[in-house]
Amino acid sequence: MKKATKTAKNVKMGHLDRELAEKDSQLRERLKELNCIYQVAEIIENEGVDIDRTMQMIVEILPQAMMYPEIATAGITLGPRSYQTPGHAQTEWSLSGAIMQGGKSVGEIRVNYHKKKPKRDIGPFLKEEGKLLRVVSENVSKYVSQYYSEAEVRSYVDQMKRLLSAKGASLKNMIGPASTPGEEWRLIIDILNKTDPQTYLMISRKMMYHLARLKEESLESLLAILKPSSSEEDEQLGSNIPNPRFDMQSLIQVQQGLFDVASKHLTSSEIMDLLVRWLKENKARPLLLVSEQGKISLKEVQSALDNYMRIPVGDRIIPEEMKRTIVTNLIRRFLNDRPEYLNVAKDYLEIEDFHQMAHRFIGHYEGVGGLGGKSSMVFLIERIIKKEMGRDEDIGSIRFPRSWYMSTGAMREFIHENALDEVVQIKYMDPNEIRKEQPFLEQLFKNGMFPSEILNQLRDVLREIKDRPIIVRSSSHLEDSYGAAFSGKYKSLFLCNTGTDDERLNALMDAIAEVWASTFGPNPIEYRRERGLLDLSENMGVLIQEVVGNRIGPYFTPSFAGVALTNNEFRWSARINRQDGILRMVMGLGTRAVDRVSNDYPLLISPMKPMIRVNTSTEDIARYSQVFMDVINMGSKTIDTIRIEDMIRANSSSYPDLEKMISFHAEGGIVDPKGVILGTDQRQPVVTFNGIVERTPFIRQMKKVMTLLKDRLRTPVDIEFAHDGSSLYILQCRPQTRGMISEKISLPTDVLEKNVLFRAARYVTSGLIKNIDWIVYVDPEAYEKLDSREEMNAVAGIVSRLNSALPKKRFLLMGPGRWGSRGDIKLGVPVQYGDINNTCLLIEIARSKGGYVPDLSFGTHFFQDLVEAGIQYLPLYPDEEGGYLNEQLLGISENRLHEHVQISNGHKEVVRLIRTSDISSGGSLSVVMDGESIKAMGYLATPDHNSWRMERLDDVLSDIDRKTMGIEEIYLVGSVKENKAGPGSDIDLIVVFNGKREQEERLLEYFREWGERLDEENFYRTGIRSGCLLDVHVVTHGDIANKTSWASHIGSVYNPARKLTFRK
Amino acid sequence: MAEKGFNAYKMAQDQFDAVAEKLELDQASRNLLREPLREYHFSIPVRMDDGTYRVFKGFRVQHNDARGPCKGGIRFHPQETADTVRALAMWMTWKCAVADIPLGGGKGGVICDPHDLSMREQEGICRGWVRQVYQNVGPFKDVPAPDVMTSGQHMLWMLDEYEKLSGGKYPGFITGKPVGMGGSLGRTEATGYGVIYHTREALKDLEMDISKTTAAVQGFGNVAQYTIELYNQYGGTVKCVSCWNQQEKKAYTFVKEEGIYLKELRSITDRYGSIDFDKAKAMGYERIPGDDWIEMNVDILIPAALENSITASNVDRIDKRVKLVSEGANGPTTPEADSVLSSRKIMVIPDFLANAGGVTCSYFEQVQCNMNYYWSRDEVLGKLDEKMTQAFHGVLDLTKHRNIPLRESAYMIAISRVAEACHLRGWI
Repeated sequence: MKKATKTAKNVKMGHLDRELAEKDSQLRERLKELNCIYQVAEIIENEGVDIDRTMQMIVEILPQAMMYPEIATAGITLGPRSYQTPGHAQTEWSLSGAIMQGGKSVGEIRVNYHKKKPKRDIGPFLKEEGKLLRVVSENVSKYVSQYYSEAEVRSYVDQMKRLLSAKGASLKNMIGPASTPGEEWRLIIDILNKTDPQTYLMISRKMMYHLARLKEESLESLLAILKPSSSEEDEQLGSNIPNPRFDMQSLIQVQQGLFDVASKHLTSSEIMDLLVRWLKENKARPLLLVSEQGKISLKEVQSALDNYMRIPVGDRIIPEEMKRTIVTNLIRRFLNDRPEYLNVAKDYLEIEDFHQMAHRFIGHYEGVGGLGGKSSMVFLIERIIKKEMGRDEDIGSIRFPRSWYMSTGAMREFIHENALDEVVQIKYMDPNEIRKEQPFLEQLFKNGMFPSEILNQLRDVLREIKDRPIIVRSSSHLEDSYGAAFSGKYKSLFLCNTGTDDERLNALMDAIAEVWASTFGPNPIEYRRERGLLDLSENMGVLIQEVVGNRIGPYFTPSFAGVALTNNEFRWSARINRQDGILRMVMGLGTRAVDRVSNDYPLLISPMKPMIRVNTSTEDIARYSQVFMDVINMGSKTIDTIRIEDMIRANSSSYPDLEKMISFHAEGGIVDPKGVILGTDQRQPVVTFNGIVERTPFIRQMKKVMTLLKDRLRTPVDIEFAHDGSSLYILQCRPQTRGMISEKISLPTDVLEKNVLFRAARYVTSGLIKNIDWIVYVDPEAYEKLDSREEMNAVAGIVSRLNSALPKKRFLLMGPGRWGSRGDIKLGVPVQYGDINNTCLLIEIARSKGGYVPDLSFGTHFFQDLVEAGIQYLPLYPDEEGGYLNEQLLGISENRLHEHVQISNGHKEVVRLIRTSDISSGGSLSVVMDGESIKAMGYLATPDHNSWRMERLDDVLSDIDRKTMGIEEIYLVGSVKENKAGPGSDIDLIVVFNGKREQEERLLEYFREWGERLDEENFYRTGIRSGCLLDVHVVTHGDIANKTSWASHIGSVYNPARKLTFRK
Repeated sequence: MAEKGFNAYKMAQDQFDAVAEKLELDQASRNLLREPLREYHFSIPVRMDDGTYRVFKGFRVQHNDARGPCKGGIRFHPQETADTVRALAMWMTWKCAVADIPLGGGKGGVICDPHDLSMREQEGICRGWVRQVYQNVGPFKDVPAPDVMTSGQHMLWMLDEYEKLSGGKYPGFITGKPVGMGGSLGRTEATGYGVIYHTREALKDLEMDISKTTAAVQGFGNVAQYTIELYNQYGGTVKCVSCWNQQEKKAYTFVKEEGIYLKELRSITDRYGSIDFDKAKAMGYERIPGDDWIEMNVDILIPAALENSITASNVDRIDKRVKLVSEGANGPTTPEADSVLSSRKIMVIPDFLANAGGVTCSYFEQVQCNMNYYWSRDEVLGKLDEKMTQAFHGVLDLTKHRNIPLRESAYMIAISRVAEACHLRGWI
């Protein structure tokens, strides 16, 4: 009872008391903390010269500032050194702050409690105490940085002093009286002046720039010494005469004056700081100098980079402009000197990156080769993505396979050392010859000797990569640079990389030789010829990459892989945009996604709308899913194509993420597995990637990477990726092209309106199709009027027969609504893919009906077949803005259907077969689709009468037997030579003849026969007949000498005949 | 839709009118049966993946339920029209009637293109469809099923929504569900087996021993394979199958005079149903053009792949020996070809009778669901045999009685059964 009363009373009274006591103790704590901060500042100020003493004193005052000083200890670690109060040891109640120097942690300050205390803000500590420790560690950090900078300068000065005394000179005599204490910088200047004039000049130059900002009068008067005295007259004349040269003395005078000016405006410590900074910056100078030399050898670059990297991180402070210069120089030296590349790369690459690269670079130490296109791109995108990973958490962790870069110079050296020089000229040979030559050439390369320094470097690579499979990719100088993509023109080879060291090395050398030899293969040379790159020298670098994946049973393979294209040229729904891009994914190696394989399908995903799939019905999902996968067979050392079902049955438990890629086709539905009991499931597996899409960050990551690279590289790109179950790897990246077309496609502006067959302005993807000879047109209105399914099926039958009868890829199909309709075939001609697979373009026409425009199919009935066969698709909305269909043109032309298929008359109304030359007086149809501006146009191109004449002329000449006909030369004159041939133009030839009469007769006979043949062709093309299209004029050397009639064209200044070359 | 041209509904009505004429049906019955009893048209708002809303048009047409709850699929089609759905609902009525199962005919759909929709959005449509019409459908009113672009998954979403709204478990609301989720065993085999039950009965009538007969089959899909399976079990010999080749994008016929062996052919068939050429050759099969199945020297032709396979242009290639055509596919014979077959006295088991095994099995699924007790596969197939045999003989009797083709009598029987039910109910 008594106790209770007392307690109640206490409660009442204690309330105020406690509040007061609380306030009081809070105040006292703040006071202690403030006191501590002052003390620290004081210690640094007074004792700063001796770092050990300073640190020890700071340690000792720290516990006093804490709430419970009696149980507190403190300690400072600074590099290898440590300072502490007695009994300082690790406990579970601890508060710490980091000591930073040059952005790097060099030590820490720590306060520990040694007994458990009630929980406060940070464990038993107050938040104010946390703040205190932060402030103290910041102050200590500043002090430490400063201390070491000064120490460095001091050691520099000491060094100089030692140097001078070693030379026996008296320091005192050499250093003037100016070197009073506190003006130590004068000492440095003086020493520099006497020992290292180059650095001295650099320092004074920098000081001049620095002071120039002050606009100091005395400085101007100082500089006036250097200004040539000039009259106004001179000023006007400008700088046509060289400025006079000044003697060294006046320069020195200026320099000395400079520092006097400096000492007037800057404090000693400011000058000291500046000197320290400039001296540090100067450390990168050797690298700058090396990088400035364009053709510097690998060895020199490597050693300059090594030296630079030896500078402690904190001291690698160099001015931005210098860094930029070095980086751009290195980019030019190693990567690519095209401005498009340089402008992007310079923002992402650091000197450190080049150091890493230089040690993964394989080439002659004296060589000056670079990385080549593919490697340069791989190198750059890795940096771009890594930089973004630091900024954007959403991108997640993305990895890159270890890569080694073989110099573009290595191939040249190899060719040279093995005396294969003549291969370089192979590019000028006839394509057929090149084709014949290729296997032989490959063997030559494979039997060549690799220089020993390269061999050693390759051995190093193999040592590092261990027994991981390797891919050897071409990285040519011309390939993969902006503008020319060479996709798939050169070789990429997989290596299983097993066996003895020698076996592995031999396999690697073989692969490299083969990649080199592919430089001289017919396809790349043809490609270069077409793009006007033939005369440029092609230097093939090689990119050696580890293969991403896991060992699964006897195989090595990534879980899945594929390509991402940032422009989707095959959209399957109006809800998908071209800019959304597209992913082509496969299980196993990405080869099946990169190349199109018949009879098997990758999964297509629009990364922005991954849930809108190409195939929606159960049958289509099962039908258009991947059946086979490519893997590296580690036993047989081959790339095998195996059934996915077999892989699943045998290795379901060791295949990472399998349950996220596979669904089951059962009872008319697609079921995603829940849990991971795949191996025993007897249902039919279907590759859907449903789990990967829905339950992993993969799509999000790819989306980020695609947007990032497209934005940064400023071009649509094609990215190869692979996934090993735990990480996404980006393998390579190149500008996106569509087959041969990599230029921007734009609609011609000079087409006459009457020649336009159609225009489209919705859902256009990019493409360019020329020389379309036939149009198969199913008239939408007539089709609509058909009143039975049989009639409609008959139309499909006609289309199918035309598909077989017409020349492949030279005809387009235009028809109403949805091609390939199944149930409601009124909506579109009920064809199957096999009925249309030879067309080059499928057009669906959506005519508006009473204000209602029907939906089109986007080719979905056989979409993936179209994609894999490269058949283009275009929807046409003639009644909407921007849409147009020239039905008149299609209506008036002759229907040539009966020439190709037997049909009943009724169908003639529905299906029209139009020869484009009929409606373009001998020309053909071109379709240009510009996905960028969403516009497409089909137009009749006027006939080109010249080029086929020139082509035939080649044939005429190639057959000729010059000896038996006594022909010496043949010249071309007239309209064909002028490139102005009209529909009726004949080909005028001058034949220089030197032979007998019967030879001349044989000659004329030969040309007459050809002339008649060509006339026949011209009649077919234009309807014009002249009897003989070749007009041959036989002249002799005498005629030429006398310049008689036709012979006068030869060697004429004004209208010379063109000499034709004979080919075998 | 434009007025001119092909219209499925008009075609169905014309067909009905012709049969009604032969049945000398009274005008009221004609008026009632040539149009649906009820139609529901409604809007289905769906929240799309991107947060926007779209409104889809949905339908349910109940053509006739005099004989029992309506039965028919739900189609997702971008250019669905009320007329198409009406025609299909009417055909469902006749199909159920000719199979003599106690169900009426219905059909439904949504105007949408699943190619443009994610599965989540499709789920929204399914659930929305049920919400709009659930009071008018149900296990004892109208039973939906999968159809064009809908699958068991769609059915389960619909069932789930229906059960949520009605507060109970009604697996009989919808058919086409997976086994274990209220689906019936024997469903996969049902259509193919059904074809052979009819064929067997027809051969009895033709006084031919099924075990001594030979057949040519067009197609090698689900229906064809089970057709062959059961036919082989009865001892029949299939001399050839014609099958689509995915790689060459055309069909081929594989022939083995002594009879194809289903098991070995299945083992060399890929998922597209294409048979491997080389392996087939090694097994002793001869490969001939796809169309040539029709001129085989056999007793029975079983078109079980595509519509319009037997047409005016190839009907003359049919061998003299052929006595019977069993239509496993929908609409494999064109009317012109049909009359040629009829004049050549070749018996044709019409599609909606021959392949009624499918809908009969759906009926069984519903029956099992309603009592929540599921039969074994053999029990299902045994009951199917009984049902098909009865149905066939019902049609055959009329054929004999009036000396008309099976197709005609099948329609007459179907329509008269429905008309009679309406009359007994006192509707007309």
